[in-house]
Formats: sequence, C-alpha cells, structure tokens
Amino acid sequence: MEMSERIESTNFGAITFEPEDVLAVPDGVLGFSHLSRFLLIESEDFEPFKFLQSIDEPVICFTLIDPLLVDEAYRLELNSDDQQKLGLDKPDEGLVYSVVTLAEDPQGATANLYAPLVINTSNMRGSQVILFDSQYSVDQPLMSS
Amino acid sequence: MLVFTRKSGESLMIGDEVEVKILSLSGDQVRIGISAPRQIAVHRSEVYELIIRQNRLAGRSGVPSKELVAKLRK
Repeated sequence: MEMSERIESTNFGAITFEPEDVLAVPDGVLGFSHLSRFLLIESEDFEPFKFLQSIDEPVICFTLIDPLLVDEAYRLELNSDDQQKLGLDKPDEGLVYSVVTLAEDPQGATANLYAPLVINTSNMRGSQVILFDSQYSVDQPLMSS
Repeated sequence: MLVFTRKSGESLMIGDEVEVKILSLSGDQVRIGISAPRQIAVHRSEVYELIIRQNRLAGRSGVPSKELVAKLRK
C-alpha cells in the first residue's frame, strides 16, 4: 500500500496527502524549475482563490485565480505541444489558472495573465504556459474595476 | 559564450534541428529567423525574465487577505 506523506507548509501548517494528490509539474514553474511536485489546495475560506503548494519546498506556495474573474474576455490558445505535454485530448479540457502576486495592500494584488498555469486533472499534470506574443500582462491588477 | 560573425542571409545550426538565420540588418536592429522543432519553445529573453521575476514575487507572497477574498467573491 502506498503511504501518505506530510509536509509542514508555511501558509497552511501541516498537510497530509496521498500519492494521487500530487500534481506533477515536470518543467516546474518558471524560476522554480527545481520544484516539480505540488498540491492543488482549495479552501472555503479563500474561495475563489486556490493554491499551488510546493511539496519539496513548503515555503513556496502560489495563489491561483480563474483568469476569467480578472478579465472576462480572457482567451487562451493552447498549442498542440503544450496540449501533448499535458496529455490533454482537447485544448479546452485543462483547468486554467493565473498565478497571483499578493501585496500588503489588497489593491496591489495582480494576476499573471501572460503565463497561465494549465492543469490536467485526469493525469494530475500541470505546466506554466507562455502565450506567444501575448497582449496580456504578467501583473494585471485584480481590483482594477 | 560562443561568438560567430554572420552576414545577412547566413545562418547557423544548434544541434541538427535548430537553425538560426540572420534575415536582415537595419541600424542596430537584427531580424532573426528561427526554425526549430515545435516542442522547443522560443521566446524573447525579456519575456522569460519578466515571468521568472513575477513568479519569484508570487511564490512567497502569502495568502489573500479577507478583504481581497471578499472583493473577488462579488
């Protein structure tokens, strides 16, 4: 039988998880390429935000948001390689999240619409995709309106 | 760093699959064409640097405040 694992995360304290909860991000998140195992954390307290918690470096945790909540016209075209890398049968099958940068002032919170995180929940694989020549920003304010 | 001098229209190979071709020169601008297999991502360096910098800020920025959560729930 496979064993559950436990980490002591900076943001959420102790987290116990099973092997099937592990989200593999083989290429890592850019700038954190040494980290390839994450947990996707949802909590009612923080909805609609979700979190990408690093297993191997428990201090690293990315806040995620549905980009459509930031820009209701947001569109992403996944190219066939990213699709293949993630094992998605169709480009629109993946979950798409923007990585949020929080600031002390809530008004300063931004979302990275340029390089979204795409997740295939059926095989638990994820990748940070760089949109080619995108007009989207890496630091779009969350509370612009 | 390996340094080459090339003329417009000339190219060089990286491995046997990636070709970098100098298309044209104009003042201090160079137009470069890259032929590479589709699985090799090609982006401007600034884009990578921008995303890496943003990720580094994001990865340790804590959790959203109650105020921000409330605003996003609307």
